[in-house]
Amino acid sequence: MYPDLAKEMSRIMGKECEVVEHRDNLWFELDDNSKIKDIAAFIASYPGRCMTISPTYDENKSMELVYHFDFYEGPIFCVQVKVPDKKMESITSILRSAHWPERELTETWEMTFENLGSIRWDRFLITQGVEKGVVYASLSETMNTNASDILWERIKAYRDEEAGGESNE
Amino acid sequence: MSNNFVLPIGPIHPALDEPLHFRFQVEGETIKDVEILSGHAHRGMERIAMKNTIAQNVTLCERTCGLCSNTHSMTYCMVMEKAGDIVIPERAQYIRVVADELKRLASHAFAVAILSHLIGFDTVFLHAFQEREKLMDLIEAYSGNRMDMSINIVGGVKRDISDELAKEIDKTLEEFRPVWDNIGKIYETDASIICRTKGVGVISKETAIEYGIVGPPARGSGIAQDVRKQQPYAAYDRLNFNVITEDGCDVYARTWVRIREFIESINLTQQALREMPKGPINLGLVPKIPAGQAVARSEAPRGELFYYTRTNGTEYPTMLKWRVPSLVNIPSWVPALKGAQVADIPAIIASHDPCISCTER
Repeated sequence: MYPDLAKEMSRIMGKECEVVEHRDNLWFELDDNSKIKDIAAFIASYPGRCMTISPTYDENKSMELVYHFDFYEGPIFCVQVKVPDKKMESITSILRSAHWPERELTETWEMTFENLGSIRWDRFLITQGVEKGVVYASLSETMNTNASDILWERIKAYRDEEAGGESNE
Repeated sequence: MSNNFVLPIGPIHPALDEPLHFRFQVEGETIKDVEILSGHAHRGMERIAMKNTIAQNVTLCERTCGLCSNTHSMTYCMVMEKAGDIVIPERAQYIRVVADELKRLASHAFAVAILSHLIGFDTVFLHAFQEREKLMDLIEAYSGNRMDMSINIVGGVKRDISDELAKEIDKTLEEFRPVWDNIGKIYETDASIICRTKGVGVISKETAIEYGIVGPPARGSGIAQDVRKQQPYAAYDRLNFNVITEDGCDVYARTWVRIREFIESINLTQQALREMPKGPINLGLVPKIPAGQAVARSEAPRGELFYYTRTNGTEYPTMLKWRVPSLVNIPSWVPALKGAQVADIPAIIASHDPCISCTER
């Protein structure tokens, strides 16, 4: 049976909470980031899973995260939380299904998930040649023609030097 | 001399068609632990999506993956339609089901064929691939393309199914039943297949829930999770079909789920073709999407596909994020591979039908 989310969120937050139905799914705005682990514990106990975590921006370009949880029945439960400092407590120790989403956000959006732990390779989704946080560097950016130009200019300069400063052209 | 050593495999390896690197800690022939590293071909598509217009992203999303390309463009259109509170014409909903199921049939046939090849049963591989070609012909007859059907737009679909083509699809699919029944019988009874797949790569139901895996691997571990039933989209709420589950939790169960789903997909496609109403197939010009946010999900051949968007009222989305089934399923290979034999690695991986192209979107 699908859980009574308003009741559960009110219990976790210690105050009356509203879970809104919005475009076929259920949404909850979390105003106390420290409670994310309690929400994760509730999801895990049901049992449910973390589908993924979406990064987004509000109107003031401040970062937000939307956690998407599923209970193997009914709609998606979306928990929206503001993270202006890009820091959040990791929920991987409670919900293992959040592991790769958290790692992905660490690499692509420079999010810091406290107590996420480290992996031997440091990176898992994006190659180490790409700087963290600028990752959304597309292939066309990382392999642009400018890089080739710089390479050929170096070769040309080297050849000029070899030829005693005379241009080969 | 120690019997323990590290066995690196990939990112380029004949058994794995896509780039993925593994470090297996083995003791003799038994795998004790494994580390998985991806990221050899990440394309930064989500960044590109934010620079594209909402209409252009249909094309981009379809190119995330070859085998479930149509599901990507459809789910992207669904999330934009949700953000814009748009209801698409009923005929378009049925056409989306037909297109989606044709791609599922082709993908499942591919997955079963590849697994047969990896365990050395090339007769089934050739048989399944030969039949898959007929499916590819149907897809081409409808859309003009073999892989990217390119039929979805925000507000419906852009290519109708004629009565003549509907009859042709129905007839060809009917011819598939005995063929697929036969492949099923071989899987069920052949001793060499059974000994290579039964009890291999076990993921218990509890582990499957812990890792949150989706699609045929989840259903092969006894979890009746199928977005088409759980949160129906397109015309799935008006069609009769069963969610296929197996409780073997192994390579055999995951493959058997796909074989049984093949028949369900044939039924679904034929039903959709029969019950498809007449009428428009889209809303005309690209609708304007107001500021807001929405999520949408669908059942891709490999499992649940999820899209999130935030829009700002302009033609460029503020954010577009998509999560593919393989990204969720890959971490669960660790418990599946631990304790297995080195020779079983390709079969265990192929039974998840992974898509690195999707994972590194």
